[in-house]
Amino acid sequence: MMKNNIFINIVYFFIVLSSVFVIISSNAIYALFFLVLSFIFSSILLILLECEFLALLIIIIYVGAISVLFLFLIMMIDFKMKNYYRHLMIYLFSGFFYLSLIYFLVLDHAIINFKTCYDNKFFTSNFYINWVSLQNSIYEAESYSLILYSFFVLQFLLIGLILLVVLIGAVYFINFHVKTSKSQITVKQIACF
Amino acid sequence: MNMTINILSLNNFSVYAEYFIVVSIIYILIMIILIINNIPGLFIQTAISEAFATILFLSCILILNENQFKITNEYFYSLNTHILSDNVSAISKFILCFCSFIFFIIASEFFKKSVLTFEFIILLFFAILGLIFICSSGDFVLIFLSIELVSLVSYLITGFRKKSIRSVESSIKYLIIGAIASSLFVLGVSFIYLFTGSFLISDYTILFLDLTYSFCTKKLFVANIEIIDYKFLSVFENLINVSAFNHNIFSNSFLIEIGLFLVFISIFIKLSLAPFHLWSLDVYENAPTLATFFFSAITKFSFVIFLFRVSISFIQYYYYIITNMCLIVGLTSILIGSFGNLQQKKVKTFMAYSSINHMGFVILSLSIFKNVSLVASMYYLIVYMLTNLLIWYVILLISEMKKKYQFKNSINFSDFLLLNNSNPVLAFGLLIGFLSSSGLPPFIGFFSKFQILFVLIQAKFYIVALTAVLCSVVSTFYYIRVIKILYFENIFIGKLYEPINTNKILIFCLLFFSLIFLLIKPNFLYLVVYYFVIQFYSELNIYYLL
Repeated sequence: MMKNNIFINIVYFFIVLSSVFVIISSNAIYALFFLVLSFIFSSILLILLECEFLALLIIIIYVGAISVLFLFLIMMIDFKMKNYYRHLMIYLFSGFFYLSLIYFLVLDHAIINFKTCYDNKFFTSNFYINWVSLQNSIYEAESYSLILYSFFVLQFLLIGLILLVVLIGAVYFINFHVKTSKSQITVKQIACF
Repeated sequence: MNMTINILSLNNFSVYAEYFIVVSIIYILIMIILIINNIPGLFIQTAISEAFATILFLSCILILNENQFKITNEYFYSLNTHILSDNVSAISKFILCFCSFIFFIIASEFFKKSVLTFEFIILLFFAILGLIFICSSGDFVLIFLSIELVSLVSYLITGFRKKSIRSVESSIKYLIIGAIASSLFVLGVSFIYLFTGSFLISDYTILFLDLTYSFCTKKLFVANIEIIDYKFLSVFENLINVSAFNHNIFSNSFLIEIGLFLVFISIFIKLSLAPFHLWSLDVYENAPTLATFFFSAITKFSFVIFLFRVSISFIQYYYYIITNMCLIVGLTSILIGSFGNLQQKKVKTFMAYSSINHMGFVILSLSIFKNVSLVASMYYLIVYMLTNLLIWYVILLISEMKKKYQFKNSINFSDFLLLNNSNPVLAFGLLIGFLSSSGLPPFIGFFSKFQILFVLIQAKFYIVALTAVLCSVVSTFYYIRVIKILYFENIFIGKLYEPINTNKILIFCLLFFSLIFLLIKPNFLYLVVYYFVIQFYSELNIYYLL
């Protein structure tokens, strides 16, 4: 009997691995690379769950826009992460303590709810497809639009307002005023630091 | 979930205030951009601030005009069951709009010598929109989006002084911690969704409704309190075992307990309560004073209202999580808020610690889920907002002078020296504000704190009440130290203060007299708060928990 979910376990493993390497790596570009990898593996997970539209959308937005933004940031600012592990031993034991708390008390009991795999559409096993109903069914992108603009209209408009807030903030922080007059600040002239 | 489409039915349209505020923000934004492009160097901050104050006043009238303020506790869901309109939402929206109205009138005078441009005020108004949505939403997705709106505005506002490194650094700190809190919230909501299948609060009230004890007598809910008291420190035992009190279909419901736990922790982080309070000390100190005023006086209100709503939906089956967590967090908040403030010389960190202390009291009385305790908690919250409005007003007035001559934005207590000699009215206002915060008898702070302690003793939490009282004693020390600095300092030359206009002093006098009025007649707020609390119980028909 072939296990149905070995591929999904591989994807889980690689997501966790690449997230860990984002945190551990001492070179910023390597961290960015592993971040991109974790996004790609998340989208593979979504493809396995039959949400192709969302998966490709995640690649376009997260990898194509946000990771490129971080790349520009790393290029322009000189990140030195040499002394990252100087204080490791101080925080190691308390970190392990909290992690073991979370693992033994919380995760153990949460995982039980996820153990049965209801996805039996692996290529080795037989399953029945009703082609007639499949023709008339709503595909994924259409289902998003059916719900997002009718049931979640208020949330959609609120998301627009959030983006407006971000836009206002970005314009304010980038705005560059040329100072035309210089005033005398006596406190700064007298003070010695 | 029933996804029927009912957007355009205007029978149950209950978002008049939100609609008005959204339209007014967009309209004002467009007008400002058109005006500012033509005229260089125009100063419009006071005008915008006062315009927003009138908009909030009118939205108060809109809220009063709706059919929600009824003596019968009817409630209805509108806009596809995302907006819940009942007495709770109406009263909390009204209080929020009123206090924000006072905030904008106060803030309108303090833009003349500061670098805060008009975007500051517009961002604040977006935040108030988010807070209003939290009060009246019946849906976790809407709550998440409104929390994100408020938090985003907060991140931008703390870093508004671009030239100051500390301001920007505290903004980044707030961003990281707020993002972690929001992600914990989303994780918790997704766990709850996994177990229950919906994120609408209307569904939770139906799902978690246990009518088996609806008609019981008084004895059972006395037993209820004893069981809560007995299970005080057995948090982990309860999390692992099957729920010992109710053997029902939710017996193996560990996921929903984790979800609830995470949601509560994320709200505690945002409220800056005790084990999660360290970010607020730096952020409140280094943000612009108006921003800190906004955080401590106004944003905390809506988050506590959200905590009330979540608790009442899940209280029948998961009371032990809510009560234990609120008890532990509230107690540590009171301890840390009292003892952390003893050596503070900076005013804004001082106010941060005192807000941790006050929020600790509110959450502590939330852990006992009875009628009287919710009343005590809400009453304390409203009194806290009023006293903070008064105290921050005086802090703003004093910081103005310091900015003019020393170009410094941080305020120490040495700037308060001998305020009595130059302006006795301000000193008297601060006296009343601080004595009320510390909980000394003739002032309203005493009555609200007394109510909370009384409720604790009724629930037989004797040691908790004792520690709360001892910590109040410790906190009284630093409030009285400020009063000593104002009145009885042994120096010959005091500080220079700016003369105050009648515009500024009018609101000050109104706040000040409101505190004295509450001293004379504390029952003034009590009716409002009582209707607020009764609405929770009538939604679920669980009158036995009264």
